[in-house]
Amino acid sequence: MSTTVLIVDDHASFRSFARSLLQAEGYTVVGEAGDGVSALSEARRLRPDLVLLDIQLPDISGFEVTRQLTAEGNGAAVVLISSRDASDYRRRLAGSRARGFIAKSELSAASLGAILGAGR
Amino acid sequence: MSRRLLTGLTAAGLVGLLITLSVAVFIHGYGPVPWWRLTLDLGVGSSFLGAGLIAWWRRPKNHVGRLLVAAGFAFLVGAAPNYVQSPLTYTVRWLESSVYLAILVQLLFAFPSGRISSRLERFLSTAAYADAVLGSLSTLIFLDPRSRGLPAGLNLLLLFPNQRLFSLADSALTSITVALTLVIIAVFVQRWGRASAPARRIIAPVGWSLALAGLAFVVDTIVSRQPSVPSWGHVATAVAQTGAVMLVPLGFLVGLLRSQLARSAVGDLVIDLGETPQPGQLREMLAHTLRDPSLKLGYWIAEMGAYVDAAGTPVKLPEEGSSQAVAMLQHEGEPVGVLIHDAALIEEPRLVEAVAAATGLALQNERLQAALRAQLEEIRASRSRIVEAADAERRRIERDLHDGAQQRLVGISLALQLANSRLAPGADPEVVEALKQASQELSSALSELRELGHGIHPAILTEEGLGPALESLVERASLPVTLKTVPTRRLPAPVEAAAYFVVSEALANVAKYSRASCATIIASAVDGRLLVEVSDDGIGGADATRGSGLRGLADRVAALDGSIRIESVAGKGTTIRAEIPCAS
Repeated sequence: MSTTVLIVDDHASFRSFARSLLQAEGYTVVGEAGDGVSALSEARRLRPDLVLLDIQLPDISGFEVTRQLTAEGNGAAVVLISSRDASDYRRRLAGSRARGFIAKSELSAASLGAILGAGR
Repeated sequence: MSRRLLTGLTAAGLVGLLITLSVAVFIHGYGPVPWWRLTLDLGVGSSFLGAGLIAWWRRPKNHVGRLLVAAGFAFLVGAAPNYVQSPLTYTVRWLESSVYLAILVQLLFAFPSGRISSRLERFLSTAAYADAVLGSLSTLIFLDPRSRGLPAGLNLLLLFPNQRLFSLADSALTSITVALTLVIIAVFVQRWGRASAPARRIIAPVGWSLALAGLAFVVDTIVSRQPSVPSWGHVATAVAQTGAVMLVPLGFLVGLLRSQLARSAVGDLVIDLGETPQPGQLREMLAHTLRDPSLKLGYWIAEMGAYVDAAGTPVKLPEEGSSQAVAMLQHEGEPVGVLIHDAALIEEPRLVEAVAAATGLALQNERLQAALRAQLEEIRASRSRIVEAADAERRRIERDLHDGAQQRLVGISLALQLANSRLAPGADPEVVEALKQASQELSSALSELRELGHGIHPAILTEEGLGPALESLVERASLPVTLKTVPTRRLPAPVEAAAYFVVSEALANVAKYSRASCATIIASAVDGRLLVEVSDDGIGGADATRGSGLRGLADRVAALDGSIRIESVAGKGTTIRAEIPCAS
């Protein structure tokens, strides 16, 4: 069975590209969310294997969404994404319980697989 | 007729009257009253009249002189019947002998302006008159002179001869008088407690002379009731008491003239001003001359339409009814400044005028300096606003780049990846190559855009503060850099930005010119100051004036009241040290 994914980003165009890209690579995209609050409710409802989570959301930050999801013991692996690079979020990335970070332009089955594979 | 001539004639007339009165009394014979008593009475009367006339002459518009003269007459009129016994004088003496004390009460509250300003004080003054006249009248109607071994007809106002009622009225009057006196003393003491230093200087002679007279009165009253004291003792205390009373008008006169202040003080001021005062010293000198430590000096700044002090800070004018008053200082009809002084000095507007005139040039000088400082302060504030606005603008541009162009390029990058993954096996190699090249170009464009955004305003500085931002700089540096300390807490955004750009520019210079093998960064916030230091082991000899980068940074740091120093000895490396106030 393929990995189920929830894509969280406030740009609809990015969500659409990411959906096509991941589905082409064999992932099953089960849902999308445009902000932190709906990300939390969708994750609880859909219980995906993976949450692809943008750091800069219009309401609460991706770091806070990660904290709440992991605290709930949701079981989903969280991978943070941003159009900035990792060096802009040094301390908070280090302190976060997300599985990893991928710059948006680097998003691919290979980069995701590397993070998820390393976590297993 | 001039005021002085009028006052002089009045004085001559009064003195003549006094002499005539004395002679008349002596010729008439002083009967039961000893000669020394007469001398003392005349002494007290002339002391009031003399002090009053001098006060009247020196301060014609002030009521104090007239009131003192009135008190002197009231005293003499009250004392005269001691020497001339007739029904009229006997009756008048009873009614009038305390009136001069009531005048003293009015004087006490009206001093030094000549007018009573408080309602309570006006009430007490009126009560003193009522006590003196109505009080005496209420005893007089019961007083039968025969009870004192005097002829019955002496008391013209005797309505109900009754010794018991007289005693009752007399005790009641004494109690009321004592109570009233205590209240008057309390009000005066309270006024003293509230008075400013210059006001106290003026009231002090009055207060002390009255206190002395009060003390002498108490001693005299006690001694006069001791039969064991020999007669010379009674004379001595009576003389002491009268002497003390004679000092009271002098106390008023000295206080009044003090409020006028010695003209010589202005002379001293002129000499002091000749020695070109240091900036800000002028206020001290004026405060000293006017004996008002609370004195404030404001300089008129036409551009601001406001008064500022020597430091350039705006000066607020006192509101109406406050304990401070304002004297406008003008030069050729133009306002140059303002003196905010104790209201007690209103008594001597001419002194304030003289001081203002003597101050002229020095004031103009200080005013220009104050104007300069006010402008500098304004420039400093506007420079700091400009830097803050520029920072905000840089943050906005960085965010716009990130939210706009960067997002779109990310989208294109993903689309290209998608297209690439959908290519059928055996697709046209030229298409495959074109897609690959496009991906690479896009990747470079994205990383250039990220660098550009970082240079404009690094997101990490806004997001996480100076420490992580410096760590990120160290990682990007082209040579080994050690970050020794960073502040543990967030600092104001302009301070963090200035410090970040100092380090960033310094590292860029190290890489470009120093030929160093390594560099060290220290950043620490201690005692409200952020110290940032970048040192290298390069060739040194850096020229601080070369290159616009560091000069621009020096301006940015100076806008925050900070400073930058560069130590760069040839062969001994370079150290750039910035200190920025970061009070939180």
